Amino acid sequence: MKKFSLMRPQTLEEALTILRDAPDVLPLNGGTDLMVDVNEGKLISPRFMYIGGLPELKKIEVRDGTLCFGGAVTYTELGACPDISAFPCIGQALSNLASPPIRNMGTPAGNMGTASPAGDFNLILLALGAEADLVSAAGMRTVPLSEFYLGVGKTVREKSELIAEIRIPLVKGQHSAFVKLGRRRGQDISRVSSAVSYLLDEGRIRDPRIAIGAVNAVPFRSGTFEEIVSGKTPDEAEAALEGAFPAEANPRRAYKRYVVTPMVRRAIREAQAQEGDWQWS
Amino acid sequence: MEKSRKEKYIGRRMPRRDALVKAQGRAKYTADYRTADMLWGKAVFSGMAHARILRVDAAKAEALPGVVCVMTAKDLPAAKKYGIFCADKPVIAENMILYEGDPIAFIAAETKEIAEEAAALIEAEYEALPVVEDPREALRDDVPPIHENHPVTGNAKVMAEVTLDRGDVDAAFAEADIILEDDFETPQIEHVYLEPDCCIARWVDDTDVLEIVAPQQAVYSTLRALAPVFGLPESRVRFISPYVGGGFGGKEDSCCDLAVIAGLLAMKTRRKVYSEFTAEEVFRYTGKRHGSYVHHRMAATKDGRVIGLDIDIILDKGAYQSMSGLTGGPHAVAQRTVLYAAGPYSVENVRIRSRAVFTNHPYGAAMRGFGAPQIHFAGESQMNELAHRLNMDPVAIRKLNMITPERPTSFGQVLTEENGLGLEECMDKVKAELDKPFMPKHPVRPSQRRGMGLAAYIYGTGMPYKSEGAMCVVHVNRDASVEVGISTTEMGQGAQTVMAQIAAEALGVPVETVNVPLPDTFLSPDSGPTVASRSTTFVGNAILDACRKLLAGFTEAVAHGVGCSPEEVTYAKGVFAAPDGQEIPLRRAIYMAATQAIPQSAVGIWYPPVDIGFGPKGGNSMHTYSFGCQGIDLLLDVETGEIELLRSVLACDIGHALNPQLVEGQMEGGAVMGLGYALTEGVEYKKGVVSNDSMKDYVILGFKDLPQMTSIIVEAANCMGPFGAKGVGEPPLVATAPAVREAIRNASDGVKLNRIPFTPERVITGIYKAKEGGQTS
Amino acid sequence: MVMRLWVNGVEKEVQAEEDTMLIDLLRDRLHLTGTKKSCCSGECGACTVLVDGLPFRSCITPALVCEGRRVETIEGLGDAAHVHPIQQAFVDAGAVQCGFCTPGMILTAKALLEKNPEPTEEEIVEAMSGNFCRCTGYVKILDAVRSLVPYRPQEKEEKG
Repeated sequence: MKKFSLMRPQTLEEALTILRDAPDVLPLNGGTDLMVDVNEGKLISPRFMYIGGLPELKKIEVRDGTLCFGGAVTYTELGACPDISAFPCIGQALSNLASPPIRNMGTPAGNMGTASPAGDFNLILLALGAEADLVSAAGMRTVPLSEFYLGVGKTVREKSELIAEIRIPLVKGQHSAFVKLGRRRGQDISRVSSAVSYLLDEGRIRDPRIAIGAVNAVPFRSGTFEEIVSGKTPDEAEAALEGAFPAEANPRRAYKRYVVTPMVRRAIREAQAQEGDWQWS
Repeated sequence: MEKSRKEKYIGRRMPRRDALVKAQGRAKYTADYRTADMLWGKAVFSGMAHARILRVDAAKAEALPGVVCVMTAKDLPAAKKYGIFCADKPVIAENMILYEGDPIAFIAAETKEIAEEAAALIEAEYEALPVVEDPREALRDDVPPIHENHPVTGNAKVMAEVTLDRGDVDAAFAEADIILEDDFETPQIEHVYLEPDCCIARWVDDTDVLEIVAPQQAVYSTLRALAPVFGLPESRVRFISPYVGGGFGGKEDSCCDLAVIAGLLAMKTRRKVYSEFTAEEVFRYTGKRHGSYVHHRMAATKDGRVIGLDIDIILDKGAYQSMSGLTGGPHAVAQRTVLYAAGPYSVENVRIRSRAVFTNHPYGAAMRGFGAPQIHFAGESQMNELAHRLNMDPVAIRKLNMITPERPTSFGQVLTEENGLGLEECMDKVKAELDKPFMPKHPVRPSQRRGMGLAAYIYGTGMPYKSEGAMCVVHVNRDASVEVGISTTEMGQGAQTVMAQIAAEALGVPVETVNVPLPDTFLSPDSGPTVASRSTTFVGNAILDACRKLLAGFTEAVAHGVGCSPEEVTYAKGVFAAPDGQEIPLRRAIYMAATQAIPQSAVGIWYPPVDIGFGPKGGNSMHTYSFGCQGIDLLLDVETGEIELLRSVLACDIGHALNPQLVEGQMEGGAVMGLGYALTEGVEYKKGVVSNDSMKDYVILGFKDLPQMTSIIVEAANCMGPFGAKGVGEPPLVATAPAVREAIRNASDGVKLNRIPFTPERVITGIYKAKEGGQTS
Repeated sequence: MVMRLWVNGVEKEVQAEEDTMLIDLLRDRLHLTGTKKSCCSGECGACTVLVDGLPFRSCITPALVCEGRRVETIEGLGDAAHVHPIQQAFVDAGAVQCGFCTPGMILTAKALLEKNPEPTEEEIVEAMSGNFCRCTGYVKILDAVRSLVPYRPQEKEEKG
């Protein structure tokens, strides 16, 4: 019995046709999740389709005020794109997410598909209001990240669909930060993480997005916390959140009740000094 | 002994001789010798921690094409059990599964894939039994014993009990001004050597020899343990150890676990067999550092003198004996917890009991430190608590209590300056270094607090048995190049390099001409196991003995050749000098020896010239002890429990650094392993089966966790060590955990954590419990 | 099936099954055993090779996806007659103990220094952070990499 079989379509169209006709086929990018599952015996003889080299999925560009990158763009490739300076939380995430070799192989789209509750970049995309295009042989639909996850390992992606593109709106004056709590400093699964973005209107928070990861089954935004911080300065927001606990959070491990809010407050504080830097026209 | 230095090689930072081949990927480890013509040997496991085996049916597996043979318990040709000291571990389980690593079958197949397929075809039925994970629970009357018929302990729950009783402990506690009482807990720990266990076995048909190549730490221990399993005399089994990709104590036993698979299958099939454990299997089935539960009571005067200790230690023995002492002797790890229970201090009244209790966990094996880290966590934590209670400086209180020539160890051994007493210097230097100002590299968050802590240690060199000694053989070739035959394995510590330095120094030959081949029981005599930080001293001294014998012989040969008495002949830098001014180079002297029936090979032997014997009333245990001090400086985030390490300052008294670069390597590696012990590591279980069986879930420290590391070599020479050396392999991680605990305590204004690892979860929970006024851990 | 890969500057045609991992192709088919197999789950970095100059986990990379890409293993850096300066630096600094992590460490260092010949301490630590060692405590590995800064890339020797 083979460990796996591996198809290598040359074009996106070919790939989508394969998925239409054989929905048990799994799209494969860097393999940092799926190949580990194969080695650990969690996936028995899967049929993989390698999409990591598809040119249509390798683009990174700025279009209509958004940063767009394809479903096969690796973390390292994204990190080399100068436009990410608009999103300081991305730079922070990339230097805290796994480790360089895994970033050389892994992709944001791939980790979206894995849908781990602790997925660091999934959290980033949520906090930045990203959306993703899901394409299939039948067409395309756009899904905001806030609607993408259904549960641990479960997303709205149909088996016949690929994540073709992820788009992050470029927002002038946006501040952002990412923080994570792990057991060690490098290459560790987050135990609690938070990604935060907001604008500052005369020093007061506007349009906050407060995303929390590794606590619930899916990464989520805390509307209750966003309401608390709106209109406050970051310092006031930090103070207002002290002792509070996000109503949306439902951690299984008791100690997380102590640390979720401090992590959010830390992210809010760090974001204050981290304004996106980009060539706004 | 004054600082050297007339020596040419000793004390030099020489690059190790295997560094280049390793840096070029040319060094061969066991798995690199695997060829496609070898059968793949695989053991099959039940997935259960405790069960009665009702039925095992290998028929379907045997029928699979490509399967060459399947062995179950009924197919074992000779001894059915094995063990490093006591043969209690089943080669293949027949009736009972006592931990998940008890195999139910061995399979030999043409390929790995076929072996895995065949494994899935083994049919078995079990009766699940209650899993016992906590040794304290195991001791309860309503919990049946794990072993019903153990070859040594029968149905006892306590595999071994070691005690020490000196002085009058009750009187000491009655008159004490201060009594401290705490419970401490440490988990089982995995070695996480990067090279997974593996083995190649070959039946050498034309000489009737079973040849086994495997990474290991003790070729003679495995030989003695396994020859009965193969049903062969030891002289017909050959164990070879190539470079070992890390051992740390684990490969003393785990090698046996693989060698029985490959060896038996090779004998049965008469073909070469390769077998390995995956990384997950190493986590699940091989031995672990013993977990410990310590109830620690300390009696002290208000001046800070510790006058009594009353300590009860329970160790998680797991399912099999492993590191028991010699058959019938005391359990080695339990014994060390008793030996080091009083730390590097002289305490007159001690009552210490250590029990190794069977559970359904993987067997407690040897791991770097061997009981000392566990007991120092308890003892040094309490010493720091005493300092807090009395508002005394932590170094001052230790100096007040430390072992001196006037104040013997708690087990009654007198140590003098000649043995090397470097603790004071270690502590002073660590304190001086910690006192230096140090700015964290990144801005400190408002929620981060700074804290420093230190702890001291004692750790002996070697093993406390009368039979503890080393042999070697040194061959001098006609061209004056030298081979040193030892059974010491090369697992990263640099043994080959330092032994070559010693031999070259002793014989006055260039070090490049000294070859130290990798161990092979057909070629190397028994130098003892590569454990207990003993190799440099024991094996080094044996080499010196052999070299002395050789030089004495060559001197005699020269004297006879030139017609003078041996006392008139001198030797220096490769040349013999006769009284008449003649100079005879070593090469010539060797030839002269060869013509006079004088040996050009010598067996060297060294046993410590100390009356070694440790019993319930104490006694001399090792010929020398290393002392040291670990200092830690850290930031604690009191809102999240995160620890950010700033500085690690470690001072080790290692007698004399024969190669300072290698010594630093042990200190740095040991300190980081100790930091992992303190902060992130611990084996976790679900129903007795290891649940964090990967490097993703069993967390060791990486580059980004490193604090600023300072290693201070202190040299209080060991008069009995080669050029004054003591052992250095294990001491560096003995005091790390209590030092970190103290730093956290100081950073958090008094949170006392008595369970490691200090994960953010444990730390923050402890901080909150302290706020609420409760027990913090 | 036949796979075509560039390994250490030479194009190789290898007979292998489609489900062959890169590490197994290198070790078993090409007999390049310098790349080490350890955790097999992409965690430890012992299996590190360079693919188009980037450190990759060869234990979870199918060989097939490396067709047409440049793969470099430790054997490509040097041999007994030619010692690569990074290898020499590791030897001199005492950065090698059991040696199992060493090939991965050296290749990761090479990738860093060729892209960034004057890395800061933080950049060195970040670049190496995906490689784990249980023996050295990392200190002398950092010493070795630091000793090479500023780095002068080697002339590639044509081999084969």
